[in-house]
Amino acid sequence: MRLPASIESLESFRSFVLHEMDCLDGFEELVPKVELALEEVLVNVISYAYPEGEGEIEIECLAESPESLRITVKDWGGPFNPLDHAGPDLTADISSRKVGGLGVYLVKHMADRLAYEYRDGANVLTVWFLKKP
Amino acid sequence: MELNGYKQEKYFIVKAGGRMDAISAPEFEKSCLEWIQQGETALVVDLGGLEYMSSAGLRSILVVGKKLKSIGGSLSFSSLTPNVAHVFSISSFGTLFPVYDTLEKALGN
Repeated sequence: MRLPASIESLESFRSFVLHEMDCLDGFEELVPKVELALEEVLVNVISYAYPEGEGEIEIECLAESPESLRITVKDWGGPFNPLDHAGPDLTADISSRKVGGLGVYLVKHMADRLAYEYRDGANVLTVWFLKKP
Repeated sequence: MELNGYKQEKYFIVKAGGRMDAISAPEFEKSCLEWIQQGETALVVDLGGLEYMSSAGLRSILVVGKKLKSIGGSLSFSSLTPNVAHVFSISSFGTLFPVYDTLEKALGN
């Protein structure tokens, strides 16, 4: 599914992925993790991928095996690896704690595996979720 | 997101339900800052009806928490659902704010 990189697309992407997961059957237990990781990844791309103007995001959702769900998020902004960013300082008190920076941290927590590559002019972030035995 | 606030003794209770995501979190932040502006400094946020929270929600909570801290106020939470409790836990928000099992406990009863 490909849509404009805008906050208005968030709900459509969410519905798409939840519908795909429903059709795949057997991945219900992963919904809370997938939903959260998806929002964080998409909001990141929407906020930073296209500083000069408009662009698009493409997502794909498929089962690699009966236990493994793979979601790929692609944008055509400048090369940017979200996984490179330093995590938040979770020990800071409320006065010094930075606002923001938790999105990627949450994605790393929710996903079982993550991979980034810049391929053919696109940022491609792949996120894997595994069913627990 | 469903959101409403009301005064109960010395506390101002904020009930948030539904989803606190990138779309709805700004509404939570704006409403809380308005209540603070009106003089409410002891906020207790009841999240019993909230099924989902993303980093946008955490960000708004932090903005409200910082504002209250700067004026000597307080911010606490109650009745977290399992998904929201998980997000609070991995982000260490439980060390930034008091979190109670029930609204009654948050109000000191």
